[in-house]
Amino acid sequence: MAEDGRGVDTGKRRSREVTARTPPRERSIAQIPTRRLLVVCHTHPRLSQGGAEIVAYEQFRRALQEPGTEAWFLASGGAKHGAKPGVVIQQPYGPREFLHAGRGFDDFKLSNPDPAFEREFGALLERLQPDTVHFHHYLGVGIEALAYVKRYVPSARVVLTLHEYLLICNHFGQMVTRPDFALCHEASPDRCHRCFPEKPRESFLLRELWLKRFLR
Amino acid sequence: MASEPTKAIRSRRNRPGPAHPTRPGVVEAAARLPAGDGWILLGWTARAWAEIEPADRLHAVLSFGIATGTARTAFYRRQDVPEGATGFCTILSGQSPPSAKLLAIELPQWGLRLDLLAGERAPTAAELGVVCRRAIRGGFGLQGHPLLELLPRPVYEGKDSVAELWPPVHLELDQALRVPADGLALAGWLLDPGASVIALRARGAEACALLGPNTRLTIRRPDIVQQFGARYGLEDDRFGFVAYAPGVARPGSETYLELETAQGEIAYKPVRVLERPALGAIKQILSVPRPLRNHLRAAFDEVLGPIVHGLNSRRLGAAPKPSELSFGDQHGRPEVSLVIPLHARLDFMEHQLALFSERPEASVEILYIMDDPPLEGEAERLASSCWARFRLPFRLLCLSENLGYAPANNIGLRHATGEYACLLNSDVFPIGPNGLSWLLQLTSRLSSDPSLGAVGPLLLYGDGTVQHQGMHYEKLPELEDWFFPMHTNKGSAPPSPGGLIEMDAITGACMVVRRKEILALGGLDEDYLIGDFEDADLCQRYRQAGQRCVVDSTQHLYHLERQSQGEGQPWRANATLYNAWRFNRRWAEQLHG
Repeated sequence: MAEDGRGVDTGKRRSREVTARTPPRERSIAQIPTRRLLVVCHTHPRLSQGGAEIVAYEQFRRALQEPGTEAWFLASGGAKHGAKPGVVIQQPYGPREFLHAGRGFDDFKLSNPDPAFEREFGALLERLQPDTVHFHHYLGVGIEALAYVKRYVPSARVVLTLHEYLLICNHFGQMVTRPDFALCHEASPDRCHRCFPEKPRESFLLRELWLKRFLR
Repeated sequence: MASEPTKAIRSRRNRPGPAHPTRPGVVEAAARLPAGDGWILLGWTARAWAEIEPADRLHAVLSFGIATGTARTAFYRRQDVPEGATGFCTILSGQSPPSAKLLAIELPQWGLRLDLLAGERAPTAAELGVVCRRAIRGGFGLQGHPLLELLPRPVYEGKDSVAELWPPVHLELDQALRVPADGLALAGWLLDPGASVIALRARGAEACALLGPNTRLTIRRPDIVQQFGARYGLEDDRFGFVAYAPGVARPGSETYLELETAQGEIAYKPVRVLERPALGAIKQILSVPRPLRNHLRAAFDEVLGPIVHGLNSRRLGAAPKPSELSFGDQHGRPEVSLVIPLHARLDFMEHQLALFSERPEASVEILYIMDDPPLEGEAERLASSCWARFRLPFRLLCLSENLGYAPANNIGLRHATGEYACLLNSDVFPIGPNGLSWLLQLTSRLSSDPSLGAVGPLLLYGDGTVQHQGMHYEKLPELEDWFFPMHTNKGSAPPSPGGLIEMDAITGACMVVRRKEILALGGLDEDYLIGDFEDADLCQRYRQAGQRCVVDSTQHLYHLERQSQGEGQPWRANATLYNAWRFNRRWAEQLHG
């Protein structure tokens, strides 16, 4: 991490400082601005082999091989590996991979209400200083994680790749109706309530308001 | 241990008496009067001595000696006696020692002697009084016989004696609650197929309250018809009642009901008076089926009104200080305080804080008032999680008792520190990335126009139609011509945004006011139950003070109406009627003019 004259961590990327000190025509290949990418997914290929985690991990792996790119991988679903008391983010798979083992995930709101996750993910963001956080999922980490990126690294880009329709469909994000499994072409509080009569219609409106807040 | 004279009398009794062609008659039962100054006798005789003048002196043959006394007698026909004989009931007054037993009565001038039948058990005066009363009343032309006044009546001994009445009467209590200070609220049903009950009274603590047509309201009980209809051929179902009896339920004293019948009989029923925390008691007493329409006003004036008022005055008297959790720092003095009561649906707080936090405003103070003690722990955990996730400063006040909508709001207003205050329901949400900007807009309306008392936004349903655009008053003829606040334009497409719309009243679901002003007006009136008329009542006070209540049609929010209050609670219908009754007592005159 770069430091200013007083020894305080300014959070600036090393490359900028090098650029400022070194005359432009002497910039070497080692001084090309680096990309700092954090990939977030709901589980790790070591624990599960679904499409989203394979794509996400592959993105991470290829980014590592690009010159000038630093990359990290954060997966949720760590309960399968085993949670460690007192922490929710651990590193059993190496220095660049992080595993989140959390509890209390709200499947309907796609929300992770755990204050410990906000603390540890926030600390991780501050440490890694990514310029891009690429989410392949919000399950496990929670939709609030998108807001945490803005809170701790406000200059970072947030990218979200959707592998299913969970944001608009409570039926496992499949956009098929319940119970007939017919294709659904449009989500609305009325239609969703028809698939889930046990949930009041208003809860789907609330779900939409809630999720959109974090996507703006 | 019989003395010599007793033995002599006894042996005389056992010997056959003077010869008669038929038995002269017999005393079937005898009992001492409660005061000890006489006897009550029942039997039959071959000769009715009323024919003799004067016929009022009888001899009572006692276990020792003979007592003489005056007698009042009623004769009545009986089927089970020899031809020419009649039944009699006599009260024989005269002094005799307490231990003397009556053996026979005599009229020496006729040589008539009637022996007492030996029986296993001597009846009590009360029991015999009942039997005699029935016997006499059954007799032709004896309805007003003076003897009836003299017959002893049972006193209350702590037992339920309603089942002993004839014709049968059924009296059951579903609820008996204490209403501070010493009052009794009763709900139950009274089935009187013989139309014999002439008075129902509540007694206790040396007080007596008549539960008459004015202090008792009638309620339909179809379930009673189901149970008893076949037995009695019932056509009507108006057996239920709710009654209010002041002064009879002092703690530590016995309370009971007294039934008096046209036949002159009395029966008693002990009452177990329950103490319940007041809001629970109110809900319980209001869970009775709705009072009959043509007696609505009287029902509240005489019965339900005093009950609820009594229960309310105690519960609101001593509300302990709420506990407070504060998250984040409120920098400086806020301009406007959001006051948000919470009940049951805690997740609304989570949704609100998430949405408000999208556009935080440092000049806004947020107070949640938890009015649901069983969920206090959960609320605190959720509040901590909300602070960690959304980083929007707010305060959580927890009440140790469920006080209700108006008290919760008033407590919030008193603990708030902003110059302005916004009463907000927990199920109101900003639309789009609005955050808290709507609140500053509404506040600026107030700050720029002192003629405004209260300002609210346009509230919408999730489908974009109008949920609340203010209220106007309409008289409902089916409900005693009471004024009810009607939601103007509800369900319609929203009006095009055009500025301020003045209304008779605006909803407390989202209402911005000047904080000191609303407190000076007294806050929300806490004697209303649930949330229904408090906002209308407050707006009437603003109007009375010459200020206007307006809807700002440029500001829209979602309101998920009534989600925070559970469905299917039967007491709510009566609670609304109670509120309507109170509101109209205070404001109907102004609204007419």
